[in-house]
Amino acid sequence: MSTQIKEGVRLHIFPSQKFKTVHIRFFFKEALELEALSSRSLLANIMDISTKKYPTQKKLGEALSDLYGAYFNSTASRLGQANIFEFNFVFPNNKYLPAGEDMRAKNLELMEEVLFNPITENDHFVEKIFNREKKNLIEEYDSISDNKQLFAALRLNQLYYSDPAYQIPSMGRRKELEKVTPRSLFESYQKMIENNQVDILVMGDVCEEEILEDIQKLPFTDRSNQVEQILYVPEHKEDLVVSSDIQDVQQAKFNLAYKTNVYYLQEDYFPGLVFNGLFGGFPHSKLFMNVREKESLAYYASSSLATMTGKLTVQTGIDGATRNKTNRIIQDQLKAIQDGDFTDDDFHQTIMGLTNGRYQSEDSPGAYLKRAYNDIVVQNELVSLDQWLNRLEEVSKEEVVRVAQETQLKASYLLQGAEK
Amino acid sequence: MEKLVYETYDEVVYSKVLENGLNVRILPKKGFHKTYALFSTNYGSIDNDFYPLNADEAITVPDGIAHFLEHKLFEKEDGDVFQVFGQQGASANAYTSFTTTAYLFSATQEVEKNLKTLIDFVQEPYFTEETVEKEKGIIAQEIQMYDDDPDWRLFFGLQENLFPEHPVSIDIAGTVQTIQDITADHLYTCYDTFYHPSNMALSIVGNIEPEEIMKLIEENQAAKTFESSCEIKRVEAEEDLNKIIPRRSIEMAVQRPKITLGIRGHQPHFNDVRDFKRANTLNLLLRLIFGSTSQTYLDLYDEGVIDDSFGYSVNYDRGYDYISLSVDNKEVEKTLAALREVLLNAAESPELNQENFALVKKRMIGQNLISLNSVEYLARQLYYPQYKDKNIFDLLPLIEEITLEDVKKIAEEYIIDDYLSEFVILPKE
Repeated sequence: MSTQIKEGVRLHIFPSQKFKTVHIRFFFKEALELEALSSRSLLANIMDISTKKYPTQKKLGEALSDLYGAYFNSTASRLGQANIFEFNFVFPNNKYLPAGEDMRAKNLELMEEVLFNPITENDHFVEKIFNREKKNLIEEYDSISDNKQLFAALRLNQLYYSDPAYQIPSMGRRKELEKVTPRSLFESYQKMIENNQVDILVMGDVCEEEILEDIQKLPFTDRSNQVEQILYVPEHKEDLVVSSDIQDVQQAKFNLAYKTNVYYLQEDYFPGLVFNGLFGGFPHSKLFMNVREKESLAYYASSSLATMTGKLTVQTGIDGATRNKTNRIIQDQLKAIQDGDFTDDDFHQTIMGLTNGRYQSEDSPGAYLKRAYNDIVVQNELVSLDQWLNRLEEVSKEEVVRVAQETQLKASYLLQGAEK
Repeated sequence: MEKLVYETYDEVVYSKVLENGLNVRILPKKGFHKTYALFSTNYGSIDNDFYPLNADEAITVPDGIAHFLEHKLFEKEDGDVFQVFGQQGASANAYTSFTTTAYLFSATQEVEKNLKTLIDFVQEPYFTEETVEKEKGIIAQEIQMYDDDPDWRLFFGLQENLFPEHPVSIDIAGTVQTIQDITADHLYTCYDTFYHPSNMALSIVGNIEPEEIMKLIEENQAAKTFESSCEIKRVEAEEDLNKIIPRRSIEMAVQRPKITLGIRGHQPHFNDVRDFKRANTLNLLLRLIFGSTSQTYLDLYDEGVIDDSFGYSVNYDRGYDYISLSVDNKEVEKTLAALREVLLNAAESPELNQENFALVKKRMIGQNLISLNSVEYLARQLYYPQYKDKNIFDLLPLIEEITLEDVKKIAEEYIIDDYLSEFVILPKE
């Protein structure tokens, strides 16, 4: 069921009796801006731990514990040409609580408090909390390089994109964060709560009328702000961008980024899923079978798609000395798919693997709601399970070959240790 | 087949011990598309000293062998079983911990076929020198990947400090050097000793008919012959409990120092559900003092001692246990002093009051409920080698029985300075 609560505020309910929990997610969408990546990350960190009524982690922790370990978090992320701010609430289902305690009113009260009553002083965020969380976020930025896989992935993004709003980490960076003040942050909050496009997704063993009634009580107002186009087609230089760094690491990370025409639910989407599956998405894929199983060069060698921006990446963890050999083998595997050099068995196995993955995501509220939201932002309605499976079944080998042929290598990155 | 009904949780578990000793547990989940099967053996990286099947003398095998065996069990004369699962629309995986090796698949189609594949591939080993050699390169890369992971190194560094003479101080995958010594013969010896059905359990959770699944398993097992089961004899590490390394640091390419401290348990395990209760009492203790409802937590946060990187954990496994705290902070000494102070005074902590206790327990009940959504989690909790006939639904009510007095008592008994150790990863310049 989908209902418009206010102009620009929609509620979507997905009843299901499978789970012992009720999931309520609020998605706030606005156009992507470089500066807002940092400020909305900071906003999420502050809204995660405090409200007016519950100004400290202790007060908030007590309130959540009193709701039998109800859980919520807020996050900011980049989705194509949009910045998404999300509140994710998980409530244990009343049905399984001692003496069937009815938590409905209390749960609603918590949601209203978290979304609409941030703790402020004189129309800006409280300095003490602001300064502490800003410092913590800077520490978090600094720690990114501790995680070598993440560091290498972010460096590759920097090489692949040319627009800084896509080059920098989606959690932002220090340069922009330094400029955020308690007042400017409160303005970001106001913009979000008053102007962002809102979708509220609910899943669980719920009564639709009750949820509707509850959500209507929240003080949302009309809003007209729209992000017209979510899918992003980046601009690239003609030449391949190549870079490397040396750090104190045992294992080298060798990653590649390709431009594709594979965009979420668009014409090449389903052939693109099959192509990625054949290339590096499964244990029977070309990359796994050749880089790992045949040549023993890596523990992991895989590919993945980012279909809001049409990017395909290959990630491997190797001995730095084998970089050229690994690179050659990866290119050979892509060439093989471009030449139609894959068996019917490989093809069908990939379809089966994707089918299995799609069914499995129906069993996880998190995965289900994430996909449902992506469907909504890209085409305003959900693709049903049957439609999805039918479109996958219709994919031909020729389409897969065509999609592979249209794939172009744009960036190559190596993180390696100093020579021993 | 025993049918166990758990009304509180709206779940039914089917249970049987087969003639060959295999423990089978089945949990049907209505409305789910997925079926998840877990075939596990009570054998992990710490089981390096043992009496091989029918042998009179104990042997020591190279470090990392349980994990190596896990990798190699997938390879058969006619190819890789990973591919067979793939052809049958399933995704397969496996993992090795300090005390368990497990093989699993999840599928939304051809469940029976995949289940047979799972049982048969685990019960039909095929190791050759050639395939063992080839795997060494892959596992060496896996080991080096973990070597570069500061969080793994931190976790492990503390374990090395707390258990210097116990095999739990050796990396699960071994080292690039130790795996070079592994041979196909070693793998067969370990396999024959630890992969007997009586040392194993098969748990299936998902969209299934329990009677049909049980029948399939029974027929499959009846058609195979196994040596009669005999007790597995492990050589327990001879440890001097006083030999804890109190403090150690290493350098790595990290931005901020990573800090951990822990306390080793020093009482023998009961090897029954009392261990479950003890582990959860420790968990409650840490939640009371370091959880989000605690003033202590808030003070530490406000003083800048801890931030989002802070975590606490209870590790309670076959033959060893400890509790730990970890955090990233530039000021190493100040942080350690503050955390040590709180931890060592746990028994007198003002957080151990009835009000806080009631809240923390309420939270724990809800969180346990949330975890029951996951078929993967359920499959892991349907059988515990140390609690035999008890599954998660039998054990959850035990948590509700725990009192504040139990928590205070364990704080007094467990938290002793002599068993405390600290480990720090410093940024390399």
